[in-house]
Amino acid sequence: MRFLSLILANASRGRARLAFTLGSVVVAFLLLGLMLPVLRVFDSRVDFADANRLMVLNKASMMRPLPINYKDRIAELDNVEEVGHFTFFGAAYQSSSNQIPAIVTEPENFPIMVEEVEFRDPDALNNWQADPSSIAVGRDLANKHGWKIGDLVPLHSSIYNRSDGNPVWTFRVGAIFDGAAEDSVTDSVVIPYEYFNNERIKGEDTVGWFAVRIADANKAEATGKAIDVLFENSPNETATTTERAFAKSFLNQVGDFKTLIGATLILVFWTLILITANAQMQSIRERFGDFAVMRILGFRKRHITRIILSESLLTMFSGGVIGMTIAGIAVLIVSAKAEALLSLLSLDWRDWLIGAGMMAATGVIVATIPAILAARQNIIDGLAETL
Amino acid sequence: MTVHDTEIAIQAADRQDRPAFVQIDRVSKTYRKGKLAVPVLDRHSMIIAQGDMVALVGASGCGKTTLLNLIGGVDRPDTGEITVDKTRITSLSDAGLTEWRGQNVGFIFQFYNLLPALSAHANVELPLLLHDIPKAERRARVDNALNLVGLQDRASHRPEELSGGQQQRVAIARALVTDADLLLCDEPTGDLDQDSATRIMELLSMLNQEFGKTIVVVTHDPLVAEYAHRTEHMTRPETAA
Ligand SMILES: Nc1ncnc2c1ncn2[C@@H]1O[C@H](COP(=O)(O)OP(=O)(O)O)[C@@H](O)[C@H]1O
Ligand SMILES: [Mg+2]
Repeated sequence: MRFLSLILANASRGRARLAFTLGSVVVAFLLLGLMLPVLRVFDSRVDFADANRLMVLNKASMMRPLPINYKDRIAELDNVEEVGHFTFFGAAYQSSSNQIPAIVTEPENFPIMVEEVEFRDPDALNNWQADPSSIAVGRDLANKHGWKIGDLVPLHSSIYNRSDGNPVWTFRVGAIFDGAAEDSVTDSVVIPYEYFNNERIKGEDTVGWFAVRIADANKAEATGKAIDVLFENSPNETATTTERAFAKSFLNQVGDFKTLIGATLILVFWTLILITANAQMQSIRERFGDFAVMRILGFRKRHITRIILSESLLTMFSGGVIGMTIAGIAVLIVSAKAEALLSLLSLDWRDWLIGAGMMAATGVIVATIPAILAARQNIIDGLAETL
Repeated sequence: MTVHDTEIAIQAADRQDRPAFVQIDRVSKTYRKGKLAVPVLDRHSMIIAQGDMVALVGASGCGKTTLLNLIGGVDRPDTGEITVDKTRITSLSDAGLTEWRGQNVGFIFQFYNLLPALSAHANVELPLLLHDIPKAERRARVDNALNLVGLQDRASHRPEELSGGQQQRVAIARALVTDADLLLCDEPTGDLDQDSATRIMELLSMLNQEFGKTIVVVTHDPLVAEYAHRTEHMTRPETAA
């Protein structure tokens, strides 16, 4: 790159403006570097849901329970392999602000229904399945509170009181499970249904929703429809979706948030482009005389264009790499300190790829107008401007 | 006639026999500003011999700069032909013309027109960036050119750190570095004091005599014109109605 020394010399000429321009580029890419990982974490939750699983909810409201005896009727349908059910427990530990994701289900088929979890110790699994008043606890949660197998854990339910009116349920830790995938979150508690159902004061023989594992995902829609038809005109009609579709609809609100972030990013980039394009334009205008002299010395129009473009790309890439590096460090710190979802944050090669694309694109856009102006310039007029 | 004048006369006669280096053949140029037409050159012809040093004088606005731009291939005439060193430059394409002037013409302006961000060295190196010349050789050629104009110890200075005379010498070094045979100087001493002007003209004279450069100098100054072998007087064509 023979013109590099030329470009660097020019950069050192307008230091204040360069610092200002570079600063705005750094800020924009810092923002991009922070937001891209956040956007991706939302996506990873959708990947989590499985097209092979159907969710059967109460059609009237997803908060209303369904009778447990639906289970056997669903199990008889074609394409259905396994039927499980789940109920939100609404647990808090020690203080009401310390909410814990707790779910009630049947320990017998929990490992089959929920493939995202893994019991590495088969004895512990048997132990849990054998003791109806024991719970299975995710590794992250157990570590957080220092729970070990055999410990007694009092959980306060905000939804269900025991038959004596007490909202505090004390369970024994029967097993600790891990995530099947590297980045799964294991911060929940699993409570056996039978014990819970016998002990609770209201809502007997109902469940929150059914999960249905099907053999052929391509027939998911037909199977879902068959389930809903089964309970049509009953007091509790059902609405069946694939888990993926449900997760998506649930995440629509998150989607709105994503749109908001996206819109902010676009606005920031637009501002960045305006700021740098303006600075670039000013700096080019000041050098029209220089370019005229260079043209007289034998520089072709495309040489001048190349210099302007390189200058712009150099600005974007140096500012962009600095900004995204700072973002990478910040994300690293946040993910190390945070729990659950935020601990999944990372700035990886995909983000760098997007970032590099943005740097190249903005570099080209910013250079376009100055390059056209410089190319259109008449040499003699340009020379006159230096007088 | 003094002995000195006689010598010049003999040299001049000698040059008449040399081949024409620049041939300007019935060149016309009219500038147009909207509806207004400003005729500047009207079938202007002129021959400059190889190794000649010509002063171009005439009233302000008579077309001296215009003619220089045409000879140097910075602008094109409306009609007529210009041939420089056997190249008919009026027939070259735009790109061809740009490349030609980069290799064959050295320009020296009244206001030096150095790039303010670049050191003297980098300014002189500028025309060499267009060619595939190894860095070491570029360095050697730039040092050489700066030596020739007596500014080797100012190589790292920027234009603003140099006097007008020094800046003009950097500009001359820049014109020399590509080894162009034709130097076109547009009022090269117009912005300089007498001492600096003398030094510049002695330098140009030396380049003409020692290196055989063909030089055209536009000037208002009779003292400057004295350094030339001959003086061309230009007048403005009658303004057409
Ligand atoms: N780019 C241009 N556009 C319009 N008119 C011009 C342009 N350049 C020069 N002229 C006009 O042409 C005439 C000759 O200009 P120039 O060659 O610069 O004269 P000189 O150098 O002898 O003073 C002047 O009247 C000037 O106003
Ligand atoms: Mg002039």
